[in-house]
Amino acid sequence: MTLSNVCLAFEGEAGERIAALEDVSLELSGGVCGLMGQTGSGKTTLLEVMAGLLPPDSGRVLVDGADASRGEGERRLASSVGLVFQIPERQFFEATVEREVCCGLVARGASPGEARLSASEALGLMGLSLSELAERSPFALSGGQRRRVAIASVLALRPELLLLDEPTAGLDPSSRAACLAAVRAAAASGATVVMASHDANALAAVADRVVVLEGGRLTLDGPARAVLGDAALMRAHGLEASCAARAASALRRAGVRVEGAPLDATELARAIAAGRGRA
Amino acid sequence: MRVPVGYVWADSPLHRARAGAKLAGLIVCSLAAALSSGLVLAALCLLACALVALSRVGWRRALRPVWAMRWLLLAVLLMNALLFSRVDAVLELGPLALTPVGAAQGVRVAARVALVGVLGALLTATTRPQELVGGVRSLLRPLSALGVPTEAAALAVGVTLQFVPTLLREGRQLARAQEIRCGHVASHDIMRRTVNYVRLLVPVFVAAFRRADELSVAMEARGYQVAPPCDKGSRKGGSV
Amino acid sequence: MGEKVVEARGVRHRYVPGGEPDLDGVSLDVAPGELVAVVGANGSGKTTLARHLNALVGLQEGELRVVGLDASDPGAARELRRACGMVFQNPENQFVSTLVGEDVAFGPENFGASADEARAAVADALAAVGLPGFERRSVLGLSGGQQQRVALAGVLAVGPRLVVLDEATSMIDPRGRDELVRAVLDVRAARGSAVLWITHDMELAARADRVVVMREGSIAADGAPADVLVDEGLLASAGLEPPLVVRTWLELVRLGVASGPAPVTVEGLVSALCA
Repeated sequence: MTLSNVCLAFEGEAGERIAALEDVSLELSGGVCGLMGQTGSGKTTLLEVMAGLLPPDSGRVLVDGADASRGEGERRLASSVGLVFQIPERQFFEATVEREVCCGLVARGASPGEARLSASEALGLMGLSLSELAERSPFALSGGQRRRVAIASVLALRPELLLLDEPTAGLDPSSRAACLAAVRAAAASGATVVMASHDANALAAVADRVVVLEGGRLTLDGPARAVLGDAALMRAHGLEASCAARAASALRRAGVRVEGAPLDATELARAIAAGRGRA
Repeated sequence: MRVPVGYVWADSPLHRARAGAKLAGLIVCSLAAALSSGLVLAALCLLACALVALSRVGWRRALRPVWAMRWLLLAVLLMNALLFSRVDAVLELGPLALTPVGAAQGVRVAARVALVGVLGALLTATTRPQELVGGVRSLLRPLSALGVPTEAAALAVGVTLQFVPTLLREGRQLARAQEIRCGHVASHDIMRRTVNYVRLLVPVFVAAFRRADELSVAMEARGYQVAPPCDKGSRKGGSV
Repeated sequence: MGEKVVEARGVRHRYVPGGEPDLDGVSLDVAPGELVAVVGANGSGKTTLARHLNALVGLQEGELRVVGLDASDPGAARELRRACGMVFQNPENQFVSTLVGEDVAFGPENFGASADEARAAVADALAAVGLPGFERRSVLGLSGGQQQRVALAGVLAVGPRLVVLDEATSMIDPRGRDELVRAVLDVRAARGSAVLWITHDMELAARADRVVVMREGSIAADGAPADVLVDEGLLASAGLEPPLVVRTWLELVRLGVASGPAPVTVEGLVSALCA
């Protein structure tokens, strides 16, 4: 997918125009792209534009070179995109988990057998089992299970472009880990993933690349390590760096040598050990 | 994107008027609009215009509901103009007949709907939510003698008003989520469309109930009781 | 100092009669002014415990006293709610008015304050959370962090001796979380209220006076962060993991670069490595 010079504005309370996206250009091809930015910076709007739900005021969205706003490009986008909204478990409407996860597949013309198979795979990716949950009501699951079922219902469609809006917000540690593992698995199976999140630690675990939105503009675009591992850079863009990057920067300020740009505890420990070895 | 349903901070005779009086006025005007036609209806429209000018909330803001309902109003207008009568048809096309009587009827119905919309917008724009709750309370007061829990009813009205923008936003997002997952809600096939709308209603209701439930817990935690035991006189609306 | 803010002994609770207990014999003390973090997986009973403290959930079994009031006495519920305020997870679902001033005044008015008293309490509470003069703003136009601080002000306006935050930071961004944390710490310093903070954020838990780990309805550990948050096995059994600093330290120990007890905060890590 390619976005070129996308602009979008909304109408405000007094009828004034509020720019939500300004001149956003972005090329996506495989891997996990982290999308960061403060609340109100346009992350959700950008995901909705990518999903074809909001037409941009100007600029173009291209899918495999075809304009996504009409004809072939629109069909290609519709059949290949999956969007997981914030708190997706609020969108349940079926009486059982099986029907909930299969709904999109059936709507797209899959046979019941195919649908069941895809649903089972998608739930497996989220660390859940269809045979255990099939007849349960999605409303009666625990918070973490609900979120994972909701994400599985989108994964089951095997989107080539998977868009996730704050998938880990409010989850407890084990559900969060399952969710991040599924994001990695989806990317490994060839999907392009865009994950909007405030959580630098979660992105550090899955993202290959990170882009930052500020007031509707893309102000930073780089490899995940170069962005998330640089506490000063993150702070300059009004964001919170990963715990490891913040600890590394505090250690450096205190005169402790830390090599490279560690993103998690193991890397941070190795970076400190390497620094000790040099000293 | 956002639907501005709410108070406009300004000072005008309408802002200062008692909420109960405004609420009663809205009810009377709506009834009058529904029952009247011709000159009386025109006079009511003029009255509404005068009130908008008096309220200082701005024409744009006051006429927003009319704009939001433009397709509905247009449909009402056209359907009446084309289907109401066949007498003195100016233009006939199969079952459709454009008649002056029908056009007049269309204008009347559209004007009534628009009038109620504008007056409603005016009420919420000039009355703080808590005052409105107080207004509902004072209008309901006679009923409390009959054992109706007016206090709870008034608060319920206020809380419902406050949830409207959030629920609208959520509903829109739900429609989008479903579009992505299960195809467009407004599908061509009528059966499919009905199923899709029903599917949309389930999460909308679940969300509304969840909100109501969470809010009632939060209110209870903050000392709210439907029937306060002794300090009934102490709670009056609009204290800040 | 005098009496405990919370004194729980063997509190047991079932939502479904005869079913699995949601709370299975919980005993817990909270001293005045103490900041206690409660951590645990979803469904471990954290919220049920919190809702006992201001009588949102009735006491079924065991003893519970909050600021000396007996929670088994239904007549004490009102006083309990005055003494113990609660901030919830979703800021949007706890406001009764769209106007900040009116929402914050809701509590004082319910407890019988006059209009003048309520107005003064509202002004004080909003100043305490760093939002002075916000009375006439609409809650809908505020950021998540500001909304949660308004909710906190609504609780403070009643003058509670215990503030319970139930995953109050999980729906807001890092900036909002920092604002709320600062407001809570300021309030505790200024008013001496005890704070019970339910959270999944282990970095936040590391800054508390005490950490309580909940597992399947009972308390698996209760102690200083430096003792509780370094126990990898215990936390794993409760579906949790230690804060990053602890995990880094344990890895350093495995690499043979460090030894001794693990620090739990970044400041602790810095001083341990500089020593």
